[in-house]
Amino acid sequence: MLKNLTIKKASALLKNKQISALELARAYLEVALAKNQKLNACLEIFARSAEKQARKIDDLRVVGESLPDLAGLPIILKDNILLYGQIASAGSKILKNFRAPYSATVIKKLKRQGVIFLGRANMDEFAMGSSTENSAFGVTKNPHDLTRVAGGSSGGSAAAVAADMTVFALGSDTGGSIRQPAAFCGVVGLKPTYGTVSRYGLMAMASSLDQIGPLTKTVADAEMVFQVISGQDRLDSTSIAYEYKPLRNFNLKNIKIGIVPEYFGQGLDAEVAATVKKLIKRLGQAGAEIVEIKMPHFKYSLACYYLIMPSEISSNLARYDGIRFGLSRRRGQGVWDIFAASRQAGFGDEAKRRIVLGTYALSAGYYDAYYLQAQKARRLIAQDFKDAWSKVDIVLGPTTPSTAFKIGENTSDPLQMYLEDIYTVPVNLAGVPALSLPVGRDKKGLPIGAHLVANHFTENKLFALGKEIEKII
Amino acid sequence: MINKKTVKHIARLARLGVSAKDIEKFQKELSAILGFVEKLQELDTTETEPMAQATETINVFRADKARPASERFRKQFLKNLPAKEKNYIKVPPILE
Repeated sequence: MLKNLTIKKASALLKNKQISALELARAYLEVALAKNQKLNACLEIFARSAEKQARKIDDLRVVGESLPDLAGLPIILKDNILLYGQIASAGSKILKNFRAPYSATVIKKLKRQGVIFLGRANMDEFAMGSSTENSAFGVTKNPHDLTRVAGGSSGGSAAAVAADMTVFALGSDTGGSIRQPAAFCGVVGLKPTYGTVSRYGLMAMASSLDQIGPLTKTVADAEMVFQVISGQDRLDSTSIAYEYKPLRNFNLKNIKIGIVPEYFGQGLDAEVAATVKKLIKRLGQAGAEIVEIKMPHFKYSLACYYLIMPSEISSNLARYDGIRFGLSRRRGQGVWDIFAASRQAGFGDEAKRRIVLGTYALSAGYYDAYYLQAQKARRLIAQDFKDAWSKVDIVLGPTTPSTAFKIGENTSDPLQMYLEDIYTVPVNLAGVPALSLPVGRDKKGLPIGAHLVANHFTENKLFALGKEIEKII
Repeated sequence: MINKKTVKHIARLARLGVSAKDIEKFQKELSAILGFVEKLQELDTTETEPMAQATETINVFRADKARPASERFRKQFLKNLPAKEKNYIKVPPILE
């Protein structure tokens, strides 16, 4: 029953009283508890509180209350989003026992809808990674092949949706952390425009790049969730006054799709390339205009990202000091010993690596050559996108260079792992929205994702084209 | 190329304890990553303004006014403290 269930369908079943919220929650809990043994998608499943929440929704419905669309629908949260009173570890030993003292703004919005919180999803430590192999609590396995990664850093969220452990999930995306696991697991993932979704209550990784977004089974579901979680929040000063409006009268014949040769360059798997090219051809046959465009600074994106992101990390992770929360080592003499020992014991390798790299890039004597130069390169990359929007509505390419790789395949070489994000990173640097959706499988049966990018605040174009693609593939 | 002394110095700046093994590992890995990002130097950016974030909003102000924390926040916040005395955070002496 859960196999083809979407937010849209489940919401209709609940509204028509064909199923109760409690029955739905129990069905998902049963699957989640059973499948998690093998997948390790969830760090915790809130069985008891989820049933309690579901009963409340059923009670309201019985007395004839008119409820929001998402009422009674189960969600799984990435473990860096705060839900009051629950552990939020961010996949790190340093926050293993940390309980959220408040709820994120997105959580408050979902609570008002009556969403059922089913569990918290595994992730790379502090969202640093592309495979969840950097989680302090074990790797998440890909539901399509247990010897392969689910992607990352929102790997637990993507695997949970793909394995029918929940109807939908939330993730966070700093350089591809929603879209890449969505592509690897065969689900839909949205990285919204920077500033449309409040980051209040999301643990900061790289604040100028981070955004919360949904992972769902369909594009229409992603649209529904985005509509609910977006909007200005006075608790996040980078959030922007914005109200989502769906696109009316969308017609493929009026749309221009941009193809960037660099997205099909060296390092791209042949089967992934063929699948995405086939999709482009079909869109062209269906009436869309296909335009080749240039992005001359695309090749600098990853280098730019690997300076800006660690710099912001080195600053943001300074708060984990063993004084106010989290793991604390107090063997030393003074407060400085507490800082150094707690951070050494609590952080994993990738977090340490990025803290050191970022501190180096920001330190006196290197700031201009590294951080400042990266910020300038960032403007050039953002300008490439601006130039693109004068010619096309959407840029289309593959989400990832390959399908899901084997567990352990990329762990020995950090640089190799960083190349995973090559197509997704430019989007975060420019702050534009992007959607990954499944468009096929390779010969091994592993999902392939297509990556749609649009101008700031035009998520509606992504959803409209995404829905068309779902129809024609 | 980054040397061991620099790694040690940077780790100290970051208040991060590191073992001899860590230093050796980070020296190699950071050198490789810095080699990779080196290609940004070939960009001519003399006329380019730095970009700090995408929406480039500036000076979002709010009133400088304390908002009392809720009782449920206080309760959970205090529970998270690694060391406390009554309702205070406990730290070692900072000044002699």
